[in-house]
Amino acid sequence: MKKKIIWGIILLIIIVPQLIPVDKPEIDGDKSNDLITHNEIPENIANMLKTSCYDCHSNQTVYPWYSYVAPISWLVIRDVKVGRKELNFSNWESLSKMEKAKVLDDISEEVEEAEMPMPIYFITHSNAKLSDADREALVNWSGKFAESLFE
Amino acid sequence: MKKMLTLSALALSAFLFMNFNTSSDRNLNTNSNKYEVPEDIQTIIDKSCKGCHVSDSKNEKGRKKLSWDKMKDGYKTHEVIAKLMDIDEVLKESAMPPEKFLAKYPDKNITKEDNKKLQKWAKEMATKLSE
Repeated sequence: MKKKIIWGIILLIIIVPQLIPVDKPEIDGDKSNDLITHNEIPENIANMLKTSCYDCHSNQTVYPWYSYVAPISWLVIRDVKVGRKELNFSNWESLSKMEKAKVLDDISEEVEEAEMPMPIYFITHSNAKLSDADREALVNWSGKFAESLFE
Repeated sequence: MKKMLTLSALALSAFLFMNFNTSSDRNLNTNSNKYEVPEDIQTIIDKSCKGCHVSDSKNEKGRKKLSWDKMKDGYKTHEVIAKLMDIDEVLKESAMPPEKFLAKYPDKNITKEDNKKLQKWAKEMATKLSE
């Protein structure tokens, strides 16, 4: 009897969170304003952006299986929402020149100080890790790219 | 003959010097003629920002983020614009000057009105420079 109650409670704890409706940011393959599609970006940089940034910073999120399981799903959803709000590479072409300059400057700072990608992302995306050389390359690229906007 | 030689040498060096000058000018940002700070804005900056945000500041983080003395002709155009946008952002959030600093120097606070003024200037200047 006691055992049954305990199992019942455990099941409830696992199942109930799954029933809470979540508002998952949608995936949208529309590339009409995408950064990589519309700009000449060196291949190594484009690859880094895709593997290390695009899951949260574009509409082309690849949701892993655990992002369908609460409570992890809540974390993933929050990160994608916040990420897209701060910077969404899928909307790149709709930004003004000065907004682009600001974003590129932010990218350079976040990457240089290893604030981004967030370490929690590496637990399941070890290929998203950036080496010191990768970080340097990204910082250099963002500076050059920003400069080219005003030439 | 000798005079001719001296003259042409002089002309040549003058030419080289001028060339050298223009090429080094080209490395500087191109916004120095567009970048302007009205007096009332300058007063706010001097009072509330320059304690940390100048090149010779002891505050490394502040200096690195923004050195006001480099805005006119130290930074590149895209950097100046990004910094102006950052200024607008931190003022919107009332994140600058930092609370800790204000606890020590309450007279360095930016009034609401001045905050709005500085924000407006930063946004307009960023727009002007990106045109």
